[in-house]
Amino acid sequence: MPKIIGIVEDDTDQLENYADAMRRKGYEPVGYTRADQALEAFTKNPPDLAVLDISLGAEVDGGFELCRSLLAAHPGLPVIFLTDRVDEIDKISGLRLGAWDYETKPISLNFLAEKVAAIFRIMESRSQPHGKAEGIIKTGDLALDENRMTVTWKGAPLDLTLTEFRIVAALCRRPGDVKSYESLMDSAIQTVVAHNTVNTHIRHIRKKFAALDPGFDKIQNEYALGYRWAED
Amino acid sequence: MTDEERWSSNSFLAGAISMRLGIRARLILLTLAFLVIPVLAYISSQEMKRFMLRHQQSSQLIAAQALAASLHGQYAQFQMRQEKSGELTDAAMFIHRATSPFRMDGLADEWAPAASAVREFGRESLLMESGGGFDPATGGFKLIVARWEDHIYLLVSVQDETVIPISRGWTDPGKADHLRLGLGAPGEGERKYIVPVSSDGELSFLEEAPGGGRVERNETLAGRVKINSRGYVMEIALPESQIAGSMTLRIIAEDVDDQRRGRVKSAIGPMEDGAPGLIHLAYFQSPEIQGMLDSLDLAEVEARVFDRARRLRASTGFAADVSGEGEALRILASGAPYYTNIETGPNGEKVVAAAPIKGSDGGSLGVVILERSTRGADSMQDKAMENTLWGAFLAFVAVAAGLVIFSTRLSWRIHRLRGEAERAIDQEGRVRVDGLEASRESGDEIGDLSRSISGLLKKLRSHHDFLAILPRTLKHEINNPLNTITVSLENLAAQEMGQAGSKYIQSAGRGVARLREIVDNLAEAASVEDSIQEEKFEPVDLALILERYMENSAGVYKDRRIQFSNRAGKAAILGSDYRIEQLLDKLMDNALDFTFRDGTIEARLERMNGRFLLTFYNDGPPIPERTLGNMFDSLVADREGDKSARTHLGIGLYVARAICQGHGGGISARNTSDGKGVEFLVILPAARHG
Repeated sequence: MPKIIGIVEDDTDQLENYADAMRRKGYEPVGYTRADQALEAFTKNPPDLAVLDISLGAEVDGGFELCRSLLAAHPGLPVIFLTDRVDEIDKISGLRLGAWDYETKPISLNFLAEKVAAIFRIMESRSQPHGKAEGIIKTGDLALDENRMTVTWKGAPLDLTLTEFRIVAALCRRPGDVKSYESLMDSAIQTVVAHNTVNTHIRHIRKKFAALDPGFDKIQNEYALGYRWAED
Repeated sequence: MTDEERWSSNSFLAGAISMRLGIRARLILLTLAFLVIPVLAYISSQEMKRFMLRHQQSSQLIAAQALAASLHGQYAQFQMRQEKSGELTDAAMFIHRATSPFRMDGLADEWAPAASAVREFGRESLLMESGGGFDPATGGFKLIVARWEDHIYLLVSVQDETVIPISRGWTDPGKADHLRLGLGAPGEGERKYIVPVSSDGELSFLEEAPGGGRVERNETLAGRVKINSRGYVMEIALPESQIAGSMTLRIIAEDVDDQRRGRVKSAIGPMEDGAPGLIHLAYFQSPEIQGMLDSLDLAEVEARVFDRARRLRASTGFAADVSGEGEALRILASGAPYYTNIETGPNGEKVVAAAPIKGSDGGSLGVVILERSTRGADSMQDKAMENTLWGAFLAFVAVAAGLVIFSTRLSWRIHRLRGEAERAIDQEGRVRVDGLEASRESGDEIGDLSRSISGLLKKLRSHHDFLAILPRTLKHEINNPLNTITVSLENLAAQEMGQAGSKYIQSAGRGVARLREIVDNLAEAASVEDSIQEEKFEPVDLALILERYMENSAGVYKDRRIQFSNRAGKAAILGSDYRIEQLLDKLMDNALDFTFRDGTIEARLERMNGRFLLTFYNDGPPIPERTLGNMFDSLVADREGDKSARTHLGIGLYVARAICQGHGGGISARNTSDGKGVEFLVILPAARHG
């Protein structure tokens, strides 16, 4: 039975494009342009994953409201924000509500589909009582389960977004090696090849590690190239 | 000289004038208008003086008329009585009352005060002549009779071309020029004397015996004679008692021109009552009139009263100068009051007013003359002028001081306003304030100016704010349609397309990617300043970042010679390492764009005065001078040889500058002196330790 992807996007052109792409990937998209309609439908018949825009018609924060209501009704529902709002404050707000990821337009449909697939994979792994040993990376104090998307630093769990998780995974897979900006982008399923975008993600990741361990300095900048995970 | 040069030299002159005369100088220049006050004051004081003069003239005339009126009909007082005997005829001669003794020296100098009492005897008084041809220039004489204590003094000034004095041994004194003098009433014990001119100056008085013939010297009389170029002058003193009885005098000047023959050529003297040479005498003053003048106590006024025979009957003051009397008296002949102004010296003037004294028969009894100098009006004019000058000067000083204070404050306020207005907009043209503080509350024009500048700044600021958020708004607005196109292209690509179709889809995809990059860059540039402001800076080693960055870049761009030389050692700055990396990215992108294969890109780090200087050199073509100044502004990208396919809006250097400024430093660019390359100079402050 195909997974149901709920899509809420006030622009019908984009909505249909997403839906077509999802259908092509074998999912069953359910699209709405209005928050109230989406809430009513999803509350009765929750999708397996929701892709939400934030601005919905006249409701500037309609996506946030919808996310909060949906997660209240269905706490385990994975949500991805897909929006034109690039401000940091919006991203933080969205992730705090419990979204898995926050993607800004324009986005590659293939990447979107990949992210959706990754989330389903992780959810599937998590639903199984015992994870497979493969896909678990341990280096120094870091333990990372690629299948379940869990990270611990010195035993303490770390809450990363999908993009952040994939960047950390890419770095620590081969400690000591420089991961270029481009490869980090690929790993994170990001289209934009701007150093600054990677830098922003790295800053967020460092902050989250530093919150657990103020002396954290494993992620090192290799200026002009990219980053590396320092060897122990 | 070209037109432009001419224009600029003209405007230079105009500029110099308007530049040098600030508000203060102009206001002070305006105070020079106060100089007109003394001029006006002078004109008005002149007017006032004229008015006062007229006033003086009329009041003096009225006073003279009043005085004259009080004497009208006072015939009794004007009865020209001799003090001792009977009535005084008009021909009576007055005895001048001297105020000082006379020296018997034959000189007339001390007689000046008595000048008004002079009586002249000329041709009309010719008593006898022989030989014909009387020369009016000779033979006439002037006589003054004066009194000092108990003596009567005579001054006889005789005109004579040929003076013949008496010689020693002469028996007949009549052979010399001589006077005949008679004292006492004729026929009533009169004593007659012959007084010859003597060469030694001593006069002898030879008395004729009543029967005639015998001549005796009289020692009670004394006198001196002095011969001069016009004739001779005799001064004679005699006891008053000699004339007291008759109040008459006989005097005849006999001229002898032929010494050998000793014959009298002419005899001159008055002829009165059939007695040749007889002169009635009268004492000078009319005591009643004099008493009246004295009682008037006329300050600064000299009053004189003459009788109709033009004899001074009373006077105040002792002024020897009697000028003006003659004219006044002559006008008096018309019987009408009269006044005139007479100059008394280079700066002096006096008003002379004369009024006739009428007798009961309508004829003139005499005249009253009042003289007063115009000193009063003059000194009043001077005083008024002086006061006005002082007043004008003080007013000038006060107003000038006030204006200096006022204009200084005005200038200060304008300077302050200007300074604040200049600081309101920074070098990049951004408005830094919401409004100006200077004169904000002031109700005057400068306050209006301040408020209107504030208004302009506010408008400018909101416009700038609009421009600042425009890229982000644009990105926000464009992202949706861009996304529509992106995902549509992707869906299109998923369809089975021909080779041509997928080619177009790919090119459309590249176009969309380019568009997206532009929007991203614009948004980045627009937000970079604010983002840096919000970032937390940490100590980082600039030298280390540079070393790694240049080393890594050398590995990536193998077709360039990328070098780094560090002369600063460890270079600690307070900053953000990835912002520094971003700055280096921009510099490196720029250098890569403008250098050719095997070109050199070199970074040098030096320490100078608590700052670090990073020189980022590339051997690309020089930057045109016109671009050097504004190449860090947004959307400026102007370098020859820019054939890059990359988006190039000059945003990179704008972001670079924003990063430098965000770190408290700056960036500039210049062509190297050898013209073979370009240097970007980045200055960043060193972190302060402790």
